[in-house]
Amino acid sequence: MEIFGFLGEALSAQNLMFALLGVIGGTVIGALPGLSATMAIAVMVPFTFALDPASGLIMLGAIYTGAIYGGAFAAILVNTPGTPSAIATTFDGYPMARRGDGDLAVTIATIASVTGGLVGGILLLTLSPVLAQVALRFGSTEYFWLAVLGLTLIAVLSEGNLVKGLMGACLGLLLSMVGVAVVGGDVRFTFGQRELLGGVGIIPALIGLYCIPVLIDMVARPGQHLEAPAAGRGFRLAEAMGIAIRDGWNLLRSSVIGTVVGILPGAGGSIASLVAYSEARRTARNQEEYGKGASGGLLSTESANNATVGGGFIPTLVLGIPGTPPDAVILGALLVQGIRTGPALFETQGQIVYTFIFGLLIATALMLPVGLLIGRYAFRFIVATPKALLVPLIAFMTVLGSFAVHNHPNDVVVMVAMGILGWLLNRAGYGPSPIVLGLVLGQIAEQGFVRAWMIGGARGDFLGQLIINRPISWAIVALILVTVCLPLVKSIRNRRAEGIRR
Amino acid sequence: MRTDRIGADFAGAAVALFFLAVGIYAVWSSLSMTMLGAIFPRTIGGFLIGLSVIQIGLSLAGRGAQISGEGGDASNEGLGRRLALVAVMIAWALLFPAVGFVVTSFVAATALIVIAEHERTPPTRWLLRTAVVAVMVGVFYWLMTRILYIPIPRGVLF
Repeated sequence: MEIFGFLGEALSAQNLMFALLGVIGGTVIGALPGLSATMAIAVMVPFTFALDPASGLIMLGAIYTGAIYGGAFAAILVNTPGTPSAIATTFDGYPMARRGDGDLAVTIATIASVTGGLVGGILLLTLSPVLAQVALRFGSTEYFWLAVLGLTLIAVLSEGNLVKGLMGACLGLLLSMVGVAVVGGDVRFTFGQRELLGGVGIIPALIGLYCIPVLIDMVARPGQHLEAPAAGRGFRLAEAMGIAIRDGWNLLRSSVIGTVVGILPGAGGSIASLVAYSEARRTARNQEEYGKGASGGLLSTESANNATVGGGFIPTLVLGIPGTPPDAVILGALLVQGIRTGPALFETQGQIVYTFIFGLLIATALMLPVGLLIGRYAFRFIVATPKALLVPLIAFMTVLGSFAVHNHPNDVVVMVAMGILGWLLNRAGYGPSPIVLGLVLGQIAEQGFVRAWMIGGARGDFLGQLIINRPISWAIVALILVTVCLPLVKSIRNRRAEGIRR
Repeated sequence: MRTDRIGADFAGAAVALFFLAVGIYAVWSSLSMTMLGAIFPRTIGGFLIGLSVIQIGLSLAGRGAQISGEGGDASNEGLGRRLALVAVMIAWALLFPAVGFVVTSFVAATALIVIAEHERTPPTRWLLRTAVVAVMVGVFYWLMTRILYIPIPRGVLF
């Protein structure tokens, strides 16, 4: 019964207000490319010291979940992932917006984000100690295979020209190696430029590769950027709810994938949404529509990335290991408040922790009205604003967002350079997504592989370390094989069936 | 892999040649790295060389030249405006640390208004749009410096 007391506390007027403010602030910040959840949380941390610990944490959690969700707006409306977690949202969200269904896409993304966030929060509330053990079983080898699983998505994204997709991925992987190697310490591909020692920033590269080509195409022709919606369609909530219910299994599976990947320190929302997208596409009946505006793709990515919020709090609270940078900032706030994380946290600090988790769930639920309202006006703004104003506005956000990541002008140069490269490559049939996948997953794959190689070398059993003695790796490799082979088998079957019909 | 024969794709072959050069550079650079640092660049560089050679062959044979389904516009329509936008973005990125973020952003954004406008526009609308850009730059400058505490380069002109 004590648990209802914590729920009542989370529902107090003060906590509801902090949750609402956090969700609004987080959604707006997440929607602006380059402004991250980490930045917003870090700015707010000092203000929470004056608050009741549970209220402060609710506000930080609300900003976090709102920012992850907010990334979908820019991804859907201007093809620019507001956060790396929203990379996969561009695959189907932007094509939906281009065909005049931007309002529906925003509503679907909102429902998916709320569902994913709630699933992650409920698993955090109920299964934290058990799920925290999963994080401890993931070694460097499993991270390597997880990154490879993410890379298999290239086969999906490059349908019709696999060689070009693989070449783009190789370029992305090589770009991820620029700078000082984490393992070994070699300085690689910097051309003697000190500015490149830290590597190619993922966020500036993302903004450049996705947004600059859109801007370049926007100025070429007159007319509106997006199709205007038919009048009187409202939020299209009933339509979106119907789609979500019909694709409920996809929604639930993606939310669980997001939670589990969120538990793994360092993996984060980008891998979660890519893996969930890959699974959704693999099991979908309308596979050929994925990447062209399939609602199932949008449901999978947005539910998975918001589920990582609850998932990420599991190792943070139970083990004291932050899964993502925002988790690390929130862990710092917890420590300053005198809260010691660990397996006994739920008993010793139950009042604060349970109130915080309920507050996080309430903030997630608040995303539905907040997101629908912000999304509606954001969509209408993008549709109604003439290109002559929209182009400078988006261009300004790309420059500002790239600069704000590390407060370094070099990131803006990287963003513009990647944008021009992406535009030129796009004209020759090389899409940006394989490059981005390689860039995002490259470091995880390399570090995982090289560490497994070192550990295996020291034990004199590299293959054992890489796969033979690692049951979780078997499972991931099996999934990789199914993801890669199943489309081939289906294609051969279809050809045979066509041959028999003829 | 679906590969339709649609005539030699010289642009695709030229880009593949660029990828081939990148792959060769990656492998060549890896020769001076430690074993730990060289494994991945060498492997990926090797893959890239192989794939580029295949793609050059495919492009010249008129196979596999489809544009990806990611919404890219490969036409040359409005090429002058496109190149002008690229030039403005390059100048913006290179000049703002020295000249100052606010001034560079205002000038670049105003230039983009001109580039993106396709119709004859009355002066009042130009003024209004320029004012909107000025307000946008000012608001975000205030937000970054006063709220988010992100230092913005002031340069010689602000």
